[in-house]
Amino acid sequence: MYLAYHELKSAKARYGLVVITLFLVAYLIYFLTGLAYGLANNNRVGVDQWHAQRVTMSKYADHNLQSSTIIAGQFDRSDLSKNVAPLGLLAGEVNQKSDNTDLDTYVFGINFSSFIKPQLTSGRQARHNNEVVVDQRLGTGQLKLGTKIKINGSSTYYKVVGLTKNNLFGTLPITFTTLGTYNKLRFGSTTVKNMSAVVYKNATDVVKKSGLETTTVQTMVENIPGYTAQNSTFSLMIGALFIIVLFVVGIFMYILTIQNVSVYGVMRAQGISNGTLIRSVLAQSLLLGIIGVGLGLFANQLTVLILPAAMPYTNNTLLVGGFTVGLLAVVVLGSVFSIKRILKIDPLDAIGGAA
Amino acid sequence: MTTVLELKQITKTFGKGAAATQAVQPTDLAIAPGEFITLTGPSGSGKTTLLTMMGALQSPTSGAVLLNGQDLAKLSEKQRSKVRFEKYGFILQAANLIPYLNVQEQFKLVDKLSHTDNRAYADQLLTSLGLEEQRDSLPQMLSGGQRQRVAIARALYQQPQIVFADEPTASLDSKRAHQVVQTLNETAKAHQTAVVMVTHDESLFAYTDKVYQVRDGQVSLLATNH
Ligand SMILES: Nc1ncnc2c1ncn2[C@@H]1O[C@H](COP(=O)(O)OP(=O)(O)OP(=O)(O)O)[C@@H](O)[C@H]1O
Ligand SMILES: [Mg+2]
Repeated sequence: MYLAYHELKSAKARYGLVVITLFLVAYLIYFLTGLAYGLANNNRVGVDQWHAQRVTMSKYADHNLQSSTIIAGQFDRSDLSKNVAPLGLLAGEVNQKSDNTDLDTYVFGINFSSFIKPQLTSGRQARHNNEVVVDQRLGTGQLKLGTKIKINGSSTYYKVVGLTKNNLFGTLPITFTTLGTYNKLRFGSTTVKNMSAVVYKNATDVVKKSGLETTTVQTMVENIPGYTAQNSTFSLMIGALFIIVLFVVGIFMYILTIQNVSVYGVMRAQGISNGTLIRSVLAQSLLLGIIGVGLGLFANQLTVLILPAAMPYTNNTLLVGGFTVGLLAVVVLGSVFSIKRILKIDPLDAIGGAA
Repeated sequence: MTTVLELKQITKTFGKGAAATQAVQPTDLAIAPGEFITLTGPSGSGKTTLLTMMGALQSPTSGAVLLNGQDLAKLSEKQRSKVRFEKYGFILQAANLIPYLNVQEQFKLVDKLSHTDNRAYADQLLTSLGLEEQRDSLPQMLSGGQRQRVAIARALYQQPQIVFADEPTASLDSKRAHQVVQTLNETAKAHQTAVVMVTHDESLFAYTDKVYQVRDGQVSLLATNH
């Protein structure tokens, strides 16, 4: 530690460069992670809030909720209950009475007494077909209790009676309507009794029907169009950054080691143990790592404060913590090449210089 | 006579078969505690090879190097490293010091590694070598003579039994060279530390107890002082 500290101090500029590189890459990793997690979260958080175990969709939908329709005859109404909840899904546009900008949304037609009803931040659940509950983020907070909206150019107005938060699906805020309204919007009449899926609170409640297929909520989420592709793109980028860190640190430490070969030779001739030298190199890279990654973490925290709320940026403590540990591990791993080189240094070389 | 270091018929051969060179012919040598010996001889005669075998930096091809009666070849690499750290001091022609530690820190490092605190002794050594002003200087800020004096202090710091010096004055002018060797001699004598020095400079022989001539790997006694 003593050696490591003094060596770092003596070559501030050189080690400063490693720290800056580490900082930038670490920050990039945190930033991408925040975005990836935020996006993934915005795709699924409305569904995660259900804490449901199974979803039944039509077989042909191939786990894609948007393509699924369960028509009236396929599932008995009498099999529905508080914990076996019908769900209708429809992509939609919402307009306020006073304003004709289109707000993108997903319509969730639900039974407001089932377990998938939204948690409200204000107002109440919908009781009639002309009442809706919307996520606060729809229209970035423009919609208030009592606001009248049109959905998909409907002639009727729907009244916002409740607000909820963190109810997003496919990155869009959700508009909760009754199943009747959903059927009206999608099939033209409130008397149609179709739905997109049946959601089960418990796996044991699943009702098997021909033409339908039951999966986990996770599988359904993974089949949200783009969700899996997005995640693997981010994973690949983050993975590549880890490899870059490994090489940057590895190569840099190696170059510095080679520049110091004669010093290591002298130290080994003087009987300074390999253990001491190895510890010094490890301490050095760990110190560089802690400073660089620490700065990255700090910048990440600042980013959270600065970024507009609309950005899908969410820090997951577990992911950030895991990547921090991973980065430090990779930094230390990068010094392994240097250690191997140091162990090969012959103390005779130090003497040889004098011959 | 007590001996601290004894060479028993040691030889060193580099390479194999037709390409083999015998750098050191069978050699016997005994060094008493506090004795200051010089190895001299033409380039390539085997002086450094001898010194490094005595210094536990390489092993002889045959024969034995005994430190306090202990065969160095029978120790593990780790134990030899420990011997070098605790029982030996080295003064090389150049690059004896760690470039990023100032004079004081060179000693502090040794303290840290051996879990001791001999700051007072470091100060005493530095003062006796006229380096009290240079305590906070990095090696690169020192003159060649000052650097070699720091190296002497460093080599003597752990009160070693033997100090090995391979052409310690090669980079110094004659006046400085004399000062450095004289100080080395006095300080070593004061602590009963034996010294093995390699030098080409005959004018320095006067400071030493015995002078050995090395020629084609053969060692012979050239002169004994006193
Ligand atoms: N590692 C080695 N491999 C092969 N040959 C070596 C090696 N080290 C030394 N030699 C050879 O051994 C002989 C003695 O070398 P050594 O370095 O001991 O000479 P020296 O007396 O110290 O010379 P100088 O005064 O030039 O320093 C030389 O012929 C040299 O080429
Ligand atoms: Mg030599």
